[in-house]
Amino acid sequence: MENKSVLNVSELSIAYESKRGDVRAVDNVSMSIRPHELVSAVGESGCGKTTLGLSLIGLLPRPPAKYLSGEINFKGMNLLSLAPDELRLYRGTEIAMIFQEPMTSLNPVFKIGDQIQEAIKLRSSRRKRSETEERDKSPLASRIEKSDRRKQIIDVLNLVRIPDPERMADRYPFELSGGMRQRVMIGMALAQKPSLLIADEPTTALDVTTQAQVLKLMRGLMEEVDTSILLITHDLAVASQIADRIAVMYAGQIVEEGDVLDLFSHPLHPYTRGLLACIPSGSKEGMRLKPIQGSAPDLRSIPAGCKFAPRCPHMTKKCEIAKPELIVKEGSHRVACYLHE
Amino acid sequence: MIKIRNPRIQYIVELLTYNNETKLGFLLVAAIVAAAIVVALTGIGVLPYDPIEQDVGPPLAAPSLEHPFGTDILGRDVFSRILYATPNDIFVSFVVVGVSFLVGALLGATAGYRGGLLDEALMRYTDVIFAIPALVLAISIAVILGPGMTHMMYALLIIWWPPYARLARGEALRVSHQNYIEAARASGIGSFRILTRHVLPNILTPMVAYATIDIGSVVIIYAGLSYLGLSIRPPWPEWGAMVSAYQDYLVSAPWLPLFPAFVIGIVVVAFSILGDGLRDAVEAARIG
Amino acid sequence: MGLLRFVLRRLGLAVFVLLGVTVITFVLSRSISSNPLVAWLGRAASMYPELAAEYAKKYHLNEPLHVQFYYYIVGLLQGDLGYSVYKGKPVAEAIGETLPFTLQIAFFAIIFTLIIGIPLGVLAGKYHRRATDYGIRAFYLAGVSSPAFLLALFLLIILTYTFRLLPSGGALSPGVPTPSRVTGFIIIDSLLERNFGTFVDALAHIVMPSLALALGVFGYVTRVLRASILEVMRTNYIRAARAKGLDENTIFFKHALRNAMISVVTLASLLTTWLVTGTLFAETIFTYPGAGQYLVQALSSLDYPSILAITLVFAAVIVASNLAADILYAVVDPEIRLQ
Repeated sequence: MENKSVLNVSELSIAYESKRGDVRAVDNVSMSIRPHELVSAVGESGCGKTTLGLSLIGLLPRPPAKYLSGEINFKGMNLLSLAPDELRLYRGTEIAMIFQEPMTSLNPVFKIGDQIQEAIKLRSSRRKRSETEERDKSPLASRIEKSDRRKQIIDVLNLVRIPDPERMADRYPFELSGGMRQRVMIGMALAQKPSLLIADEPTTALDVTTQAQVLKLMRGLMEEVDTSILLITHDLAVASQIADRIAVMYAGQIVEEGDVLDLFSHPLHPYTRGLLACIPSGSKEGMRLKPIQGSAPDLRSIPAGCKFAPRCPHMTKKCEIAKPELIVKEGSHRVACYLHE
Repeated sequence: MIKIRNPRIQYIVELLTYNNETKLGFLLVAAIVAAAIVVALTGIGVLPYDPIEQDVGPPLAAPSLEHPFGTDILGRDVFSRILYATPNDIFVSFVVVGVSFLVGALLGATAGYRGGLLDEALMRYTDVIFAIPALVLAISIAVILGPGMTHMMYALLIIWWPPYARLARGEALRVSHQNYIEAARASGIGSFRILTRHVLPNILTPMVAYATIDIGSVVIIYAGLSYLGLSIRPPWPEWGAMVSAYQDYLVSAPWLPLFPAFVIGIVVVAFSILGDGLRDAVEAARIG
Repeated sequence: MGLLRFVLRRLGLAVFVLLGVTVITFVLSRSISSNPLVAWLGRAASMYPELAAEYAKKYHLNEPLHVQFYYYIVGLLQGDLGYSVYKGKPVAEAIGETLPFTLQIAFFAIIFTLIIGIPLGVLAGKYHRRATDYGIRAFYLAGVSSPAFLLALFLLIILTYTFRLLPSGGALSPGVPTPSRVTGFIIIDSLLERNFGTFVDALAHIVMPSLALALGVFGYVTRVLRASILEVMRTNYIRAARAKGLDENTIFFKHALRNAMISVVTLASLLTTWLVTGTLFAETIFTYPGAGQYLVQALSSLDYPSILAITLVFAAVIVASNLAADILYAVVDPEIRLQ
């Protein structure tokens, strides 16, 4: 399985240095993503999912972040062993990332088309460098190239279902709605044909209807374009709409991971169960929402036992002494909890 | 870390010790203001020489231990003259900035909070004032009023408050849309109370940073006005007037025009450093 | 189309402001003394009573204020700014002779300000928090805090008296012929005559005053640009550009700077105000025959018509440059243009 996976993170730990002590944002995380797979990392704010995402694309500012241990293997290459210049070559064309606020992710002074073109050009120049193609420099060739590029931009806009792409390409970002801007971001990211697209809360800033559209688009595109997606979100319901597998994160660790149907029908970890209970659902009309007791832990102090113990309704003495390991329960369903050992 | 019981004073102390700029700026400004106060209160007595007494040393003498800034053509000690003129600039700039701050804050906050006709009128009026270069307008007014330090101060007062009004208005607009203002209004509190208790206190801090740097600006303009001779009261010394009077000695006795000019620059730098640092401190306080 | 409407709106505002300025100068001119004759003629009023009476009739000085204001405006629109007894010619003519010189200095001052201010701002932004940044900040702080006359004196000492590089004053060196007057700008006129010797000499005389002005003002450009660069580098779109895989140089020079420069344009309108203020001192110290020096002379001789007319003209220049800056801003920032 390991050779076939696009991404293989093993025992990754990342901490942030701060004046009052190191904050361990990612604690011994291991996960893998296969081709054409949509994996979702789900957890509340501060659980480390964004840090994980940024570390995969190499955009973690260090300082204050530092890698404590582990490897990030992308198509067999450990990204952590690369120099910044080498790592940059992976960004965009191998691993792409889109962020939470579509309203501010596009450069306001450049037209949409130009920004997309920049992405396309970057990819073709990198391809040429690796394949050492000869470039035809005749004026006719460059004119053909220009109309080719224009067509490529329109293709990208069509790919993400932006209406009237011919005119949209000449518009400025502020003329587009949030949903449309996010589609442009997705299109721009996929235009570089990455093998992995990381989406950090891509729909959180959008209204519910647009949210559903964008999610559906992303899922559909994954089949069309040869890519995998890591969807980072705090909303389990969002993840359930399009993910193949879900990794539930808490305080920097993966506490449960598995196939989406499995997870929803047989949630194992008490935290997962708590999250599921939080989802307002029409069928449970009349019942009160059950929030999870307590609050997120302080990541500066690393307790000896399970980090969820203070909030867990099934806590025992064992849970406070040592941290439960992630063990395989059935097939690909893994959980880190003494309840299931 | 100094801890003081009164929370307001504690806040001020924290602002002033926020970073190196504020600390350095505060020291310099405190020294300058202290010098101004001392000279203003004690008069000639604290100075090494009588500033208008002639022939205390050989005329046009170069800087030395007895006369750190040299002497001018009438044999007067330049150092004493410069020191003696300190309260003028400091006093004028503090008064101008202080009054402009108050007037501007009140007008601007009311305009920003209330909007409507008052707001429009204020904006147009300040537009017009901004169009005329401050110095030129000050000169025109000063010419009409006649020479003299107080007249120049009046001239400056008339034209100096618009930036404060604009600033206050902008801040008031921002603050007015915050939730706690809506809540206050919804609970029936009258406009005046909302203005004085909720709006004003929150717009003051960023304005203070601007005001600090602005003191330096007034010093430059005032020095410029006195350079142009609008405040001549010979033989009493004035920084700007000294520069223009000694200008012709630039080659033969360069210390004469340069020292007063440098002193002006240093005073302005001091207030700029403090103001810059305060601006960063206020930004940090707002985010944190 | 959006641009046209924008320009028209700004133009309307400019006219309104000018009207306000006219009112102010008018009020000032009539506040000088209860006897308007004294205001307009100064001491000459008492010395030449018949001339004064004629003058009073011509300028309607004995009629009610609003009538006077009407004639004042009419006069302005016809180009009549009053008569200067001290200069011996109509004020408009005197301004026509001196204003081009001031504008020349202002022009080169702006160029110097941008040449010095922008690169320094870019460097301070790029190497932020390092030695370069602190050095640049100290430099511009010194510049901005120094009164104009200090900078002028400073330049005089270094460039003229120590290194003998540039002349100490005047518009042309003695003996250099003045070009025949076509536009009034000796820079342009000498070029039109193909008199390159005069051209170079005129330029040499412009450098010092404009440089003195620029040194006092470039700090604002540098400071604003630096702050803007830092702010832009923290934005989401820069982060997204990095995620695209672009290299840091492209990100800084193409994506970031293009956005940061917008703030410099907004500053342009403030700049002219400061520059106009500075010309008073620069022209005095360098004895450059511009409108600033004219104003200073008018001050010492209490030539009220000149003082007020120059105030009005300066205001008009500032309003015009603000308008130009606003238009430039609309060109540069697409959001403003298309609203």
